[in-house]
Amino acid sequence: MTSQRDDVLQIKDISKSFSGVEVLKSVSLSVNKGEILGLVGQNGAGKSTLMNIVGGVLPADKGKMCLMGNEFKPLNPFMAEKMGIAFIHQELNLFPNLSIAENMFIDSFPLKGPLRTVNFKAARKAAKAALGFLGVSISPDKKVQELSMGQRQMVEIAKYINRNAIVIIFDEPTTSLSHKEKEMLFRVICGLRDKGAAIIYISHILEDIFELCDRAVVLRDGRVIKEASITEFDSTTMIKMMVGRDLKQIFPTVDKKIGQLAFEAREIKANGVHGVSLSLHEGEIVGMFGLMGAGRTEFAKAIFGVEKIESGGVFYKGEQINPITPRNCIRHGIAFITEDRRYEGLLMPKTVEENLLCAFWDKLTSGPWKWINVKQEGENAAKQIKNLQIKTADFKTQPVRNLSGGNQQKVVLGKWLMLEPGVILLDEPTKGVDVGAKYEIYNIINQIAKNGSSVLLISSEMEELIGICDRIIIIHDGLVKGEFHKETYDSEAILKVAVEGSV
Amino acid sequence: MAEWVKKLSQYGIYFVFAVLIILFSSISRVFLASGNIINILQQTVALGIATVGMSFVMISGGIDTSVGSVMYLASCAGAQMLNKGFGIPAALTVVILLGLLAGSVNGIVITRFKVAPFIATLATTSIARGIGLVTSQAKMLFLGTASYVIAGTRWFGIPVTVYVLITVVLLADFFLNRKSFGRQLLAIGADSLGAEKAGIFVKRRVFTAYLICGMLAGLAGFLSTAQISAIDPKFASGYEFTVISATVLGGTSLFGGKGNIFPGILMGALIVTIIENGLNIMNASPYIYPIVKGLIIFFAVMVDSMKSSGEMR
Repeated sequence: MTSQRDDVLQIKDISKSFSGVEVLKSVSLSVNKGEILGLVGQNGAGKSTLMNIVGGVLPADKGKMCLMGNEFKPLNPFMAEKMGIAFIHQELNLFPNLSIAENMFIDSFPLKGPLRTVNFKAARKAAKAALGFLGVSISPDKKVQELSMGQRQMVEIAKYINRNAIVIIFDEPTTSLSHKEKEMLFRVICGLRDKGAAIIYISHILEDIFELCDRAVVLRDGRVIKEASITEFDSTTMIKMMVGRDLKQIFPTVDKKIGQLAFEAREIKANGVHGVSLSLHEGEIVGMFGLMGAGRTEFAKAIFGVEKIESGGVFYKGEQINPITPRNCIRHGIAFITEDRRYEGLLMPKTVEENLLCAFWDKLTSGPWKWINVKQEGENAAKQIKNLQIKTADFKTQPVRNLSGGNQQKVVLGKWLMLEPGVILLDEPTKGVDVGAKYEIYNIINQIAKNGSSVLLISSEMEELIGICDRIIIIHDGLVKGEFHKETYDSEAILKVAVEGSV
Repeated sequence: MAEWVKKLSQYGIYFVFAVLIILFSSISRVFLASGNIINILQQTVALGIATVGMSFVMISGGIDTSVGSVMYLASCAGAQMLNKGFGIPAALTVVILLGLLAGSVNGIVITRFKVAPFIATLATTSIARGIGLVTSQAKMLFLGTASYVIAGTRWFGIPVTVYVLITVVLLADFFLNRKSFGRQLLAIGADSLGAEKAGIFVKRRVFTAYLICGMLAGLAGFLSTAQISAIDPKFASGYEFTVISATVLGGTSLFGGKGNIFPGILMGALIVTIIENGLNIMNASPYIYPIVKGLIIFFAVMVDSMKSSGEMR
């Protein structure tokens, strides 16, 4: 860029390798005062590594950084923070058992008096001021466990406002926010920009990048593909740059046959669900759309027996499942893949193999003592890894924690597919997953349907529902308010039903 | 989570306290006599002090099973000092130093070598008891006249040891609620990895918690033996479970990240003591004690679990 710009943060020719693999290849970029820079790229493109170097989590192998014109070489996160870098991670780092004010000052409380006691009054005042700056009016004495996800996000941001950050990095801040909370967050981010902060915004959601950012940088395979004003991008070319191949048809199709009725849920009533019926045919992919809190997840949980069901029945191939418990559902060949893969779907510290097989071990046993056949274990895992194209260095030793989000999701899918279920309930399977991995997950879903299983796909992304579903049903306020078939998809109408409850 | 569990955990302890007092005072006239009240207070001292120490450890998300053995080891050393002709201050110093030593061993093994607290302190339990047994040759030790001085001195009609308990509770409450240490310990108990990321010196704080626990265990042991003026080789064996139940009764979570010293811990210790005292007055069979104790632990832990599954997420 020209010398006219007074860049707050400059990154020059940064390279970084992990055990011989070059993750960043001479990356240069800069952020100016009072601008929002969007950073996009697939998982594994090097975004997090780059930001971890800026945030002092990792050292760079080569290259240098300048902060406000001075050379900047943070040795650890604390040092980076002291020098004005605020890194707001995707996962919030808050303590639910403490108040907002306590959370904001947990590592360095203001102290008073000869006994160096905590000055709660000062902490509360500063917390209130920071929250006020963000336009949030929550009492700083409120415990974090009482806050919504959006409010928690605000608290996390407020934490850094207190520390006079010069550069603020947001890593996927919207994944757990509702629409309204997202708008609020965007307003705040713009407010921070207008006050002169340099902001780096990382996201998979390109719409957001276009809405929010002034400039954008596309990273691919550790290289900057393009750094330019946002007006020079459009979403098709941006996706192309991210993926490196033409992704004209983002949604794969497959030749499949829709067979006879396989699964039926009749008049399900549960917490937040007021009588929803659903039928799935063999080989059919049915999408379920609705706003947050419309009762989609609650419905899925109810028919799988995770949440208490008030009335209604669940039938698989004409046979009633009774009682409705997860164990009974699994026995009938129904699988439920939850939204929250981190807490419900995966054993994070365990290996890829163990995660893939943990629902399958019963079927690997033989003989009177039900010993596990170790040889078959490896074969089965390897087969599934190949089928789903899970990228892992060594499935026998690599913990799932070290996989990228997309590959983690594939492991969750793989675990359930081991059981060859007849019906799969998927709740937001592509949440927080990059474009390339999304494509692969769509492929997997298509493959499942092609093999004759039925899929219920719950999603907040209408595009993907339109892209791969045979049918979409729309839930509004706990009731089915509309159904669309593939030939009659109309995104405006679908959204209208979801928002207003009628066309 | 169910509303009643929340209410129960909030006010339940006062309710239980009131019910016990009404129950025992209606069964026996002796119960509310001033002599017995002093008795109860005196019996609460050792348990209360040890419980305060335990609560720091449990708030940080850990546990210390070595409390009983450390009580034994420290009081053995104290008794031997007294028997060799040293005064009470010297004996008390040795007692506290030994408690600090045991606590620091626990702290180092847990924070440096990352051994699970239960296992690490289980090892200390055995070692501390063993050292005590070797040095005392597994014999009964007597404290002599010093025990009358400690247990018999009264200020304004109240035993001096009760003032020690009050001081410990007030100091502990100060550290938990007025110093950064307390808030940071609560944060560590809720999420120790997150605390590390937030810039808290997790190892130092956790180490300090075990240090405090060890020191208070030593002090509690010495005051307790002064009360009975003799130490038999089985003294305070398994006492940590009484301490843990008083801690949980007092509102400190077994899962960490939650707890208060005053009034919680004091109430927890008082309730356990009152139950023992009440059974004693009623001339209940001593074999009933462990059953009742077990039921208390069971109930307190059950409420704690139900509560924890409802919040924190």
